[in-house]
Amino acid sequence: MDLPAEDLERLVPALDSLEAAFAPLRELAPHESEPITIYRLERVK
Amino acid sequence: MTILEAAAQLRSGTTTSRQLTETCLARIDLLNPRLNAFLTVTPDHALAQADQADRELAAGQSRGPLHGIPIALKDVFETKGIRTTAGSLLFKDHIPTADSAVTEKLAAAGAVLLGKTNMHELAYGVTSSNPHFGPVRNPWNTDCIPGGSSGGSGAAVAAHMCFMAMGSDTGGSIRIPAAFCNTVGLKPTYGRVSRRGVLPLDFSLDHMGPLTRSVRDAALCLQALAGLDPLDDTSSPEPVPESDNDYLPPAHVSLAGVRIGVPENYYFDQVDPAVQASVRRMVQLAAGLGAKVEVIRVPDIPALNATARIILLSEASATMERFQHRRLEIGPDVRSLLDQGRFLAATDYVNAQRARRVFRDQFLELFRRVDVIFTPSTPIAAAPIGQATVRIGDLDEDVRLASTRFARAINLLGFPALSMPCGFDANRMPLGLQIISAPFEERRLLAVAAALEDETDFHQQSQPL
Repeated sequence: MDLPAEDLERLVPALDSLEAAFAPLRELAPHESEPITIYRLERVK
Repeated sequence: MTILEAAAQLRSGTTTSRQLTETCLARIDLLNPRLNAFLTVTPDHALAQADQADRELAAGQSRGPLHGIPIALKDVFETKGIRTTAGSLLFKDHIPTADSAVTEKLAAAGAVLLGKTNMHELAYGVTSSNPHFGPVRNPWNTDCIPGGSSGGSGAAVAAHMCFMAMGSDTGGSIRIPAAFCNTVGLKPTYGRVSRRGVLPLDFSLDHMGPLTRSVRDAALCLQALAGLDPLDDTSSPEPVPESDNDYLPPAHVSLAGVRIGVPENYYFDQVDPAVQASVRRMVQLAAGLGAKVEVIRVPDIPALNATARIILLSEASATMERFQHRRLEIGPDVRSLLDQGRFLAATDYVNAQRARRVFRDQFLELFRRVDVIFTPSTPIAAAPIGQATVRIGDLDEDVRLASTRFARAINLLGFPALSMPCGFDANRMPLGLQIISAPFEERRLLAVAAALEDETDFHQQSQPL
């Protein structure tokens, strides 16, 4: 990716912190669960 | 004056739409040089619409409570023939050839468009300190941010430059400016209000909704805005409540039997003491009005926030990818976020959308036990313009992360949420109560908020400018 070095350096802490927060969630959903592609909600009956 | 009051005056003949519009335009002339809330003002267009409304009302042709009411749109809502910038140089000369669905609906309801409000660049941030068009200033203290990204809308409503302004909310962008500017801000259920013709930031997290000076005004606006739009893939076919059963709360609302959940975890940790005290007082008020208060444990909100941020960064970068060759025209804070999104793994995005189902189901389960959840809208009041961190207790926290951490998770869920005025801090800066309900339960959400508003006067207070 064509980014200046100083821009790249600025990204690293934010991305590291987000990666650390998301890492335990990667396997949260059951194996067979599909991603939501178009998010839809319905009223709870 | 509220929309409800102005609508009554229009019908009784004690005012006209032209008078209301001229008053708002004069207020914009007077205050916009200080607040920078509007990017574009359309006086000729507004006065023509006002005159038409007056003719129709005089002929007994009412289009509903918004007929003849002066309003504004955040500058992400496309307006045919009127520049729509999204607060960005990328769109500085963009003149849409069609209206957004929201623009159409408000015009059909007879609302008078005064102009387009300033915002955080590309709706991607919470300060509304726009590097290209200048910062929006908070009417309560012009050295402070109004919140964002719908900061111009919050400031304009709070400063009585218009009766209502539309916002968009991807991670709190309606509720945060509402809290910081002492207005009501309603983020409806995902799919309740069409996103067609809104410059997109995050297609699966973007919500459209009104900022107003009262809860009942927000209800009137939702009534005009809600409904299926076949041209928006995510628009919901869920019927819109109508006639005696519509969104507008009755004059007297009872909270007897309403079950209010108050989280024992997360939402009252690491919070300004004034915020905590104000929200607790609203809980006590609700209990005094007959509500049943239940202490609850909410799912892992930091996990929801992390999941929402993965989706936000990925989708926003994908949406804006076509402007990569013009990245230097984007301000440094938004450019940095767009760069971050390009480094995330596709697998993380997919897993975030899978985790989203789990969190949604956890919250739906919670709403079997309670009708609404009360939390602070933000852990802090508005920060000074240009300040990067804020001290809460013993910790310094990034202003952007602090401002969004109670709001963002609700975008991931897509559930409706509202911010309403609930008090002031020691510097007399406004504070907000967030009320969350289950999907498509806006009617109950608005009724609970109206009951509290009827017993308080926070929403009636404003700062002399």
